[in-house]
Amino acid sequence: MKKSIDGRSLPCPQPVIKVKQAFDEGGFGELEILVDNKAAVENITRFAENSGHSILSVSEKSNISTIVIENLANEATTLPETDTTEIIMGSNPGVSNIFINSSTIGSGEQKLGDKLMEAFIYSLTEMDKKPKHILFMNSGVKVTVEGSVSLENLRDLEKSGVTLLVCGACLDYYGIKDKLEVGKVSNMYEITSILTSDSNTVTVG
Amino acid sequence: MDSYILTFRSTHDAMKEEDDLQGLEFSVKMIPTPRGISSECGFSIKIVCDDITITETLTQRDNSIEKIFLLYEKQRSKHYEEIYRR
Repeated sequence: MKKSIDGRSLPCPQPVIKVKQAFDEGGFGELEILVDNKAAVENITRFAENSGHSILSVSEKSNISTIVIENLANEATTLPETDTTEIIMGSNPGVSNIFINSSTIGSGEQKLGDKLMEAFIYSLTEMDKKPKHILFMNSGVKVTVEGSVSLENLRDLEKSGVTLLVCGACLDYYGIKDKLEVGKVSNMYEITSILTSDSNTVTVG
Repeated sequence: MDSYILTFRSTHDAMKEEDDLQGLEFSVKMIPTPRGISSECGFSIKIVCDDITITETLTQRDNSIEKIFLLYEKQRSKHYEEIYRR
């Protein structure tokens, strides 16, 4: 089956975005795109090749170029690319617990510390090896309550099997017990039990 | 929905841009610059939206964006196509 996209009069990079969207939807063997500028031809052919498809033809008539791309999305090709960092991590058992004891990372300007915590939690969602538990204590509990920028990422981590335990006494102290959005309220015994039964813990805060 | 990664020359640029982009009608998130992207700055901004005119919206205003990448998946891993360079 053939699909067509009319990319004429669209400024760059819109034609490339349309091509990407078409491949996301799939359901065709060949994709034909009409564009009216050289930059779009270059951008589309480069993207198609980078994303593992094959350029069947590029033709031009009256300043309109027609690019035909073969959809190779379903072809079994090489194994997914992995970088060396992931290969090293692959032979490592990984971290079992992450103990977050502050709402920011490190001391310094709070704005940067907040961003570093946000970025750290986001990176956890991107890791192949996830921790078993993330434990939140002291102001670390603020990462789990209403208004936290990390809620969506923490929910993703929960979905992928990570248990989030939040210190109830800390929530209570800061007056945010009713604002908890993600994770389970826990106590010092449970948290201590996890930390002492598995020494493989990293503290962040 | 399509995802875009915006890179910057410095952490301060990234943070300022994140503040400036608040209130617009798409999801804006500061993330560590993905490993597949080379940038001087460790922070990037991820935007999720389905408006293909997003590059124009972002760059036709006062901004400090260095590059914009379009995120796509190839064999279940993430790749980034550069679609804009200052």
